[in-house]
Amino acid sequence: MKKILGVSVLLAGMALLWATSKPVLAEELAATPQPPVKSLSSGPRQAIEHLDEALLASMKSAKKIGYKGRYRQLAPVVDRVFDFSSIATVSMGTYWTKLDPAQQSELVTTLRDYTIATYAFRFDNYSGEQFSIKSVQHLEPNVEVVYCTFTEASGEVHTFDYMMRSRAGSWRIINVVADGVSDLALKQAEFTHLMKLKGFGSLIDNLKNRITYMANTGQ
Amino acid sequence: MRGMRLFLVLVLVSMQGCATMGHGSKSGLNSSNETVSDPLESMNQKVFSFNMGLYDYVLEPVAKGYEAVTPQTFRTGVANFFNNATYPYVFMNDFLQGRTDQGLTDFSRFLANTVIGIGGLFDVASHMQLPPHQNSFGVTLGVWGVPQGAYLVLPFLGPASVRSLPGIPIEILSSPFYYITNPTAQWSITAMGIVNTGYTKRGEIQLVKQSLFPYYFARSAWEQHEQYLIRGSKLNHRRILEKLGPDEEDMPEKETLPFAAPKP
Repeated sequence: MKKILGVSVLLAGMALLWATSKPVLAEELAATPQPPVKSLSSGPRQAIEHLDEALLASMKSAKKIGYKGRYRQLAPVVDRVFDFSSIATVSMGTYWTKLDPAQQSELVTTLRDYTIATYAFRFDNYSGEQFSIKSVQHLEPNVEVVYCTFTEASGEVHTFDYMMRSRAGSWRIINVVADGVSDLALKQAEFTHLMKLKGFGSLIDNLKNRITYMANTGQ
Repeated sequence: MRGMRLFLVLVLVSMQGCATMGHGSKSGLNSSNETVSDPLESMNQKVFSFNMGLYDYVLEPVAKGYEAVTPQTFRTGVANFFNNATYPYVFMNDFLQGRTDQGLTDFSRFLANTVIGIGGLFDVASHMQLPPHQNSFGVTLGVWGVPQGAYLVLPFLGPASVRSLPGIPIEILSSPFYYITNPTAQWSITAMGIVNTGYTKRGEIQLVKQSLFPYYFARSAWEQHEQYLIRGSKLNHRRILEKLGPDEEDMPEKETLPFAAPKP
């Protein structure tokens, strides 16, 4: 599903677009009317259905609307179904409480951009893929797991487990586990090592570099 | 002759090892709640860089060329063929772990794809309610309670651990390719296996390359996947939940965030 570009093109593109793409994207997003967002009035299953529908719609029109179009289309849905403050807190481990409120807020906002960019970048075409919700498990009050599968066009099936938490009447994703690999654990491994070795500024820079890279190379 | 056969099958097994680069763990927040043991991290980082360079300069260019000159049907058939050849190793470990049902499924899958699927070129088993599984002798030892030991990154083989090392010779000996005696066929299969690995694993390796910190991403992913297989492809979400901590105390004020949940 993913495009592979030459190293030289990547480097040249990153150098050229680093300073331009993010502001351009932000301006466009501010100026462009957002698509209507469905009301998420019910449970975790409906939240995942909503995300799956948005992803499928984005994939089916991927070539027509391009990366930026997919970003715009997915942003309001991702905002509604992910709990980025919880994700940021857990991903940072013990470093979270060492950040001041401004840094915490910056990380949460950057993580939100990074997540939308990643979806827009990776789900870039449609060739018959299918999402399916298999079951929902109650873990404890306000926490449930939605078990799903993603079937590739080749027939290869991947399992996706969404851990959801209800906060302020809204069910939101706090972790995604794909084929046994927890996204929260991956983030924690990366974030804490970056914090340990290079500090908060480097973590934010790395995240923003990845967002810029995806914006510049996504098609 | 035996030495060359061993070498060629080792190359194929190594390529499959590269394949697990994006899989497999114990870092802080995994479902086992153990901490990573990586005393050889400095050396592992160097080998990791070597393996990624091998992918950049050999596997990826070869895979691109392969994709450009062959139709999808051909590539799918080749991928099925090499995947099917790993199944004696998979179902043998299923049985060693006492997972009889999974072992029978995987054995049936191998038979169906080999016989009806013409040597594995066609994945007919997936249409017969015989889903694929992954397994290894490292997982078997894990099921038997053998500690994982130090995390390792092996040249060509990729992420591994001390516990998974004995699985390498077993995987070689259980591969049907080891028992092919014709040198031309051996070399052809080995070359095709390398090309196929570059093609089929490109997505996983790209995922690692595109992460914030590829070494730690790959290590965490590999260890998590290994633990997942040891538990019989089951997750304990409650253990993950335990790591989530307080519900409200450490959170920033939701009202300060641009995507705050609407108040009821």
